[in-house]
Amino acid sequence: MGIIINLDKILEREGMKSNELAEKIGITTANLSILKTGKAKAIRFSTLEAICEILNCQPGDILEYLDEK
Amino acid sequence: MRPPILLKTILDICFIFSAFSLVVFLISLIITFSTETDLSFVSIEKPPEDLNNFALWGLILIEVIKTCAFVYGLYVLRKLIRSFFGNKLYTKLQITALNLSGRLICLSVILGAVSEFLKKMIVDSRIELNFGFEFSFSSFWIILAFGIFLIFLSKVFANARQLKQENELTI
Repeated sequence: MGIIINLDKILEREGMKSNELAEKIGITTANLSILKTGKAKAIRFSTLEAICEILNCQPGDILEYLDEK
Repeated sequence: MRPPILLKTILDICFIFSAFSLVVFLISLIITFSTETDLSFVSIEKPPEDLNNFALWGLILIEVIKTCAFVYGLYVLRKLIRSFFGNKLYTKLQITALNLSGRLICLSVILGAVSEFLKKMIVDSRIELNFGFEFSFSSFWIILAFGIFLIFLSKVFANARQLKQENELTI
């Protein structure tokens, strides 16, 4: 996959647990797990905004493009 | 969404009558084969003297395959309608059932046309192709269109399933 989700790293940096973040942004832990494992097909701007706000980061910190070639 | 009870009932009745007629047809075929009586039950009133028995059995075989395909198509449609009762849409079973029933209905109607053609050729010794448009729902073209529509609908369902999965995986 070309797009990598660096949510684990940011959560570790901020010292926050997955279920805590899921509760704060208003999504289920199952959905957050889908997002973390890269199984998600898309992410809503509202979700991204909420993650950035809570984790005090930029969208570029969460999403990273990796050239597969 | 309300379950399609009326549709299920209609299909159930159609399936029961079709399956019953198929069973009666097969039993009469077995009796005829075992007792070597005449083949008048295949709606041939006066079989010609020089009628090839092999050709006649071929014709009967096509009729049996046609009826089996139609009955199995109805059975698959029944299963499909029953799957709608669970309020789950765009499942793999529904996509496969739509595709299969469409193919079976197309096969049945095409075999019906072939059977009619062969019957006229073998029994009446004349070649006749009748693809005229009749103003009834038993018309060749309408049933063929219905079968193709079911196949097309299966593709729509497959596409909808993909969109549904994408929607569910949008966080």
